[in-house]
Amino acid sequence: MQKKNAKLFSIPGNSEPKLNSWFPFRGQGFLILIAIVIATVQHANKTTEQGNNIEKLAAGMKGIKEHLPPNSSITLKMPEGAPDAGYMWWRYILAPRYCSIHPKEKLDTVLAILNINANDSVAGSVTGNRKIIYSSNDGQFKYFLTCNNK
Amino acid sequence: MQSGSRYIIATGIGTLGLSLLYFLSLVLHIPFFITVPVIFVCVLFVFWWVVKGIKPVDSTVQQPFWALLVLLLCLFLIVGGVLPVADKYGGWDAWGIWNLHAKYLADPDNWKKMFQNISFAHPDYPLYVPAVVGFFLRLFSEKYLEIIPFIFSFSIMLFIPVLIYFENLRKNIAVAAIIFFLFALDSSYLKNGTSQYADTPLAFFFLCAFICLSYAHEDRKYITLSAVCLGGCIWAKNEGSILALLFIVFNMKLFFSRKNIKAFAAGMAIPLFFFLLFKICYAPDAAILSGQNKETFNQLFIKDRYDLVWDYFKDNVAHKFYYVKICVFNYLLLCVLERKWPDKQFLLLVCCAIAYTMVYVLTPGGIEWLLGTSQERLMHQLMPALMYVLSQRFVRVQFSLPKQEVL
Repeated sequence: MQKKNAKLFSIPGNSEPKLNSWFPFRGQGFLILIAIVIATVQHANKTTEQGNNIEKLAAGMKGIKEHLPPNSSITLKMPEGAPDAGYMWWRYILAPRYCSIHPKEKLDTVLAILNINANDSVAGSVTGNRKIIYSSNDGQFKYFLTCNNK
Repeated sequence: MQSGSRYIIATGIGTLGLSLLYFLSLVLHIPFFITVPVIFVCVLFVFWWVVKGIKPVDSTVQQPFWALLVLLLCLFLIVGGVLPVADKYGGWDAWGIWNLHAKYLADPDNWKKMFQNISFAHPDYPLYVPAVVGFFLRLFSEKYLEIIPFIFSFSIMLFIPVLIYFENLRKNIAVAAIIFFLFALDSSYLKNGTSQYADTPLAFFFLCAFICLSYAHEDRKYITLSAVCLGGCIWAKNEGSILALLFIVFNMKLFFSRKNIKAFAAGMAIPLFFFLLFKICYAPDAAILSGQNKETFNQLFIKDRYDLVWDYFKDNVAHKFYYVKICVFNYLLLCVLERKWPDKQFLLLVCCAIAYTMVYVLTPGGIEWLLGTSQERLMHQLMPALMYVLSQRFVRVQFSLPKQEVL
């Protein structure tokens, strides 16, 4: 017969070594690495509303980005009724270019964005007498990249 | 220190070194083909210095098999839990601030343009996250903008509960497992952790500073590591300066003793130098600081502002940190039963929470919007360190079953 003190919650210090080889750091590190890989693959493959919106806007801006060198600074004219978040989306997509929405900052290049249902007269008033460098639409917005005629 | 903890802390400090060196390479216009090998060698050296220089606890002692099962299960829960809550491009501030800055820092010729973005972009924010993400965006491609920040934020988010688990594992496996499960099942933690903001890295460095300090009696190197981690807090977020300052004040006797002051200065000097370089030469004034005036002082005496902060705090605790509340109650109960005061580190965390309250009270203008958007994240910054401090008392509790006779 043998007496044994069964403990539920106690492993004081290092006094109770249990020999097995299941838990060396390599094993833990490997598990953590696998977790990171799986989470990344899942994340890359998932579709979300936010992801779709950004990717749609980025696709629409592709032509604009090709016509704007990374060191350029532009004024962004937002579509009517667009929230501040809209500015932040476009600025994010166009970075490292500098996009200003401040009327006081008079930059040569202007990117005017209009809602897709805006008519030609609205487009004309936005672009004015400026030279249109590039224009496009992505089914959601119309884009007019313009510069001074001078 | 536990063997696994050494690697996690070394990885964190390695990314801090990467971030600082990459920022330096941008400042000095060093070509990328030189920057990459230099950073690679330096990070490896830092990793080696941290891992090899710290003696792990007796490595011949192995943990029971189910310790591995707990790890596996919690990793499974975290990976599964993150999928529905993580936004593809991170939260609002991720694409509005942190990853936006990263895109600028990925371009060596135009990175200073980020300081022109005054509206909604906070170019005064420190560069730990943007520099790490920017480095990898430049190394691979901007095409991976939804992947690189996620890998980084997910890893740091994962390291926090794993680190606490490793630290508690050999002391009390049950407490270690319970706390790991609490983190793994906390969707609020997982969401904040993968939001791609700098709050989680700040929480990670703050936690590391606590862990390193708990070993300070063994070796002065832990003082250096703790100081480096405080430097990481400062380089991660502006609030990190407040946390680091309070941490130093509370442990002043230890850090500034004749024996330790050199070790402390050695750890703090480099991150602090880069932080000052950034703040003095590049960053505009922080909005909260530049908005201070005589009126602000009067806000100290407006009771409604305190009430508002308290109401939001209670609401956040009730909905997002309910288990932390239970743990704190248990901790205080233990203090009463043991007739001991709460630990100094617990009081430090209480002071950090009070300091954050004062920031809200002194913020110019209305604070309701600010509280709604940021208080939860500030609590997220303190929560891992708090759980670690609480667990350090819980692991000392031992419940024994009555002796049984076994054939």
